[in-house]
Amino acid sequence: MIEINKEELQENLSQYFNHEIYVHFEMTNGAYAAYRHGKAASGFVRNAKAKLIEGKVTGDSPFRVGLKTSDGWLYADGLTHSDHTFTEALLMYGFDDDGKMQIALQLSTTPFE
Amino acid sequence: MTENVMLIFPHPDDETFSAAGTVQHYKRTKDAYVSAVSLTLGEMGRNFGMPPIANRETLPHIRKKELEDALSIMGVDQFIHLGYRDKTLEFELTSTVANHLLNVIVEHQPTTVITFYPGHSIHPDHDATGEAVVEAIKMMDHSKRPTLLTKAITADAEQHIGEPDVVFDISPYLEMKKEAIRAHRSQALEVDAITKQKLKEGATDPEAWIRYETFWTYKQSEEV
Ligand SMILES: [Zn+2]
Repeated sequence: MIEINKEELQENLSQYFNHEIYVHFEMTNGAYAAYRHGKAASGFVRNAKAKLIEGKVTGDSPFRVGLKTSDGWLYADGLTHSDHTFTEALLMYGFDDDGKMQIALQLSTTPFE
Repeated sequence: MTENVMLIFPHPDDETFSAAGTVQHYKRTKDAYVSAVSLTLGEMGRNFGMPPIANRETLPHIRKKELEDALSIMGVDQFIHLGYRDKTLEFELTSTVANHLLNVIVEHQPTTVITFYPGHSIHPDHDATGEAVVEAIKMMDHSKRPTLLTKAITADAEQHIGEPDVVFDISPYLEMKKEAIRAHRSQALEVDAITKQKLKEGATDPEAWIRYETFWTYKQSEEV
């Protein structure tokens, strides 16, 4: 897991342009949030299919990623890290100040397990 | 008949916090055989380690290994993973999970089952697990039902269900329990930090939250 390098991520994203991809998208403030401080809010989509057209990385840590798909958009804000050791998919995450993952955007040409 | 204890919990680390010392108690005083059933591998955990040692895709493999390490520290004899997915348990049909658990219980014939108290366990997966265990045992013949010990973790549980009737002071096994907690490395569970915080808040026994393992013997509301 390394901090996102904008140019590198842009390059890695472009590998997926014009491909049918599987998306894992997730946001969460924790299952215990409702218990500790107010309300839990979270959601995930695993293995949604999309055809990527083009997209950009913007911002300056945290970064935003916006991807145009054949039928719509994929958008994520708050991304800080990516896992370059995992070669089967492009994994992007945002962590909060306590090191807990709060947003995940993962792209793969094959379905996630 | 020798004591046969089965822990049934949804996520790796639930068993350690709830019952690490209890397992030792049963093993040492009753020479019990202990199995641990985990319904999921905590696939959706937010902790990847500090610094991260996992990602969303590698987390289940890492947590499975951590769980096996923790269980061996606790002295658990057998590990059974049921293959559900973290966060989705409450959306499975309760009868599906209950029947699955019934098969496991009938196969291993535990004399005592330990799980969460349905409705008082904070996380939806915890409540769903407790509910399915209660349903499973309800399907069994009265004479064959194991004793059901349930763990409630909401702060106001006692107002609703009274005081726990089974309390183990696990002081002799506290260091072992901390070691088992530390085995869940990716979860970076800061036991010492929590203990320090409790001390700061004026707790007379800042380790009470891990020293006492408390359970409510579950009474089936309808005798069917
Ligand atoms: Zn849990």
